[in-house]
Amino acid sequence: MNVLASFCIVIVLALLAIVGVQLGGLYLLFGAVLPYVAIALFLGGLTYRVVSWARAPVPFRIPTTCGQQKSLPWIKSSRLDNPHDGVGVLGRMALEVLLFRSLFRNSRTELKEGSNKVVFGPDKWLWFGALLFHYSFLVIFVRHMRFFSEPVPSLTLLLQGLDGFFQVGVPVVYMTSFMFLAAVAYLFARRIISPMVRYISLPADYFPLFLLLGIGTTGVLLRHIVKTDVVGVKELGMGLLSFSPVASQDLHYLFYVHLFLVTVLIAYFPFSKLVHMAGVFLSPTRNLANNNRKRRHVNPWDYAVKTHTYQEYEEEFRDKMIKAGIPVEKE
Amino acid sequence: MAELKPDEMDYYDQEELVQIDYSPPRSGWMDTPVDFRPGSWIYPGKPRHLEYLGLANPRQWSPTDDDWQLPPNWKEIIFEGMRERLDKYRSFKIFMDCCVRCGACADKCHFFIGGGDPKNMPVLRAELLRSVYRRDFTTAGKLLGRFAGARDLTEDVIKEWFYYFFQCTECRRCSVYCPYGIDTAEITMMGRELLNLLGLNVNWVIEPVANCFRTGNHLGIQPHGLKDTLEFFADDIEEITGIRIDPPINKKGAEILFVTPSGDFLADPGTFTCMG
Repeated sequence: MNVLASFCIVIVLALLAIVGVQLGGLYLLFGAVLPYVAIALFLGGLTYRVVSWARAPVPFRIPTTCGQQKSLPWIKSSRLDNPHDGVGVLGRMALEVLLFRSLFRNSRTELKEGSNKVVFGPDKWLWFGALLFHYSFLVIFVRHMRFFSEPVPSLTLLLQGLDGFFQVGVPVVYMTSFMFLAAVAYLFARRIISPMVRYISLPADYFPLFLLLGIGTTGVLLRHIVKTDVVGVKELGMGLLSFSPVASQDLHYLFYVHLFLVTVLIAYFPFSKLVHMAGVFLSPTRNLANNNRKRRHVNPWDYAVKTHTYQEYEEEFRDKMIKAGIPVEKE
Repeated sequence: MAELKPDEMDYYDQEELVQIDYSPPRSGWMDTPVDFRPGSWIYPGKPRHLEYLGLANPRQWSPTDDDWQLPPNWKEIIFEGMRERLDKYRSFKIFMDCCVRCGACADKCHFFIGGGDPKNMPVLRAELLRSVYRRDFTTAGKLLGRFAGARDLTEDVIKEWFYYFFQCTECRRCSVYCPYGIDTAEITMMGRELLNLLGLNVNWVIEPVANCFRTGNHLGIQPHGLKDTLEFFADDIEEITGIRIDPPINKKGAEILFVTPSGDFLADPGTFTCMG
């Protein structure tokens, strides 16, 4: 049900772009106005999110400790898993953000068939799929910079060369295009196949996956089947950047589908779980050093704790204390 | 045979207890109401302890009651409580926003491994709170409702919170595996604080707290009882060693203050520590 609804929404979005461009002739709307709106929403929304996170204080310094804490010099401490200083935190964060270290730790718990034995085993697939997805997405993103700048950035050219290293087909097949589609397909498949993950999945989990599948598929079609007019696309891209957009009417409608789905993704980003891109940097359980025993940290909103004084205690129990022969302050 | 009660050992059938099933129910989690199976929930906090501590809504109630006698403006209390905590804890805010439901934490919780209830997967336990957060605090949740994973706050949601937020030992194992370090311990603590605002507490927590506050020990031993206990210990020491000691209590100008954990007044081997 969740899957179907999300799928239908993406299909409707694609049809919307086709109808809008083919029948409505709304080239400027789909080619310029909506992308601008989306980028404004993205920048505004994400800034708002990050600022609202950053403004909230961190009253307690309680990073997740996954290893031995730094204490006495002869006890070996785990600098990355229980960092005690900035360098350790930097290492931990770099490994987390660049290599998804926590996911690499992932394990699997299963019940052995026919018995009630619980067995544990390693499980690196999610880590691999996630890494593949994010990195191929990054490369594809950088590759697309060729549509927005003249001359084409050298990083784009470099990655493009590596990506099409095997020089299969004309135009050259980029490996990441298919790695990306495979990774998204895997991430989708595990949501369907694993009963546990299916149970926790919301429409908001399937929707971005279908959106990405749609973007990837139209992208591949545009490059290899439709062979869209890349000069026209670049004119549009450069026009967008220089705030003098020209939306060509000669471009294939699939291009507008591609662009519209990207537009939706960008606009949807700050209002969804996709904000994990920014949140991963700010997560207090990962980006703080565990140095509570070395340095004092004061809670910025420390409140007056309600206390019960000795006087109040004696007031309540004085008679009993006197009877039992316990000395009291006030007879 | 007399009807067995949940606090009798024979009530539990070993064979039945080890039958664990990790496959989730057919109905979605938002449509599966909580089942207060006898023996699976903790007794609620007694009103006199709440009164002593000055906490909200002291009353006699049970989780199996239909009416939990919440304060009339309970929704507002939860809403304000959540807002206050979102402003006070960056962790809470980020943990509400960032989860991608990848499921890495799902099979890491011992409550889930040992019981198989899908709402004991850390991700879903947090989702119980997150769904309400989305409805009231996020644009997407307000506009798209259930499609964005948002749901209305109802009394059934509160019952669900009570049942599941206390099924967490705050061990933080899930946080180790989470790619964003989302810590269920912090989430269930927030949930318990919110429940506390409505007068929903467990007696295992609230009675020791009230006792400590009132008598300085979690057992609620009053001064004369404490003196008896220490004298009893002194008798034991004399019987075994032949040495009579007279433990001074509340003595002014003493050079040493000896504080023993309050459990040491109650049970072995703590009592030996105290005697020693």
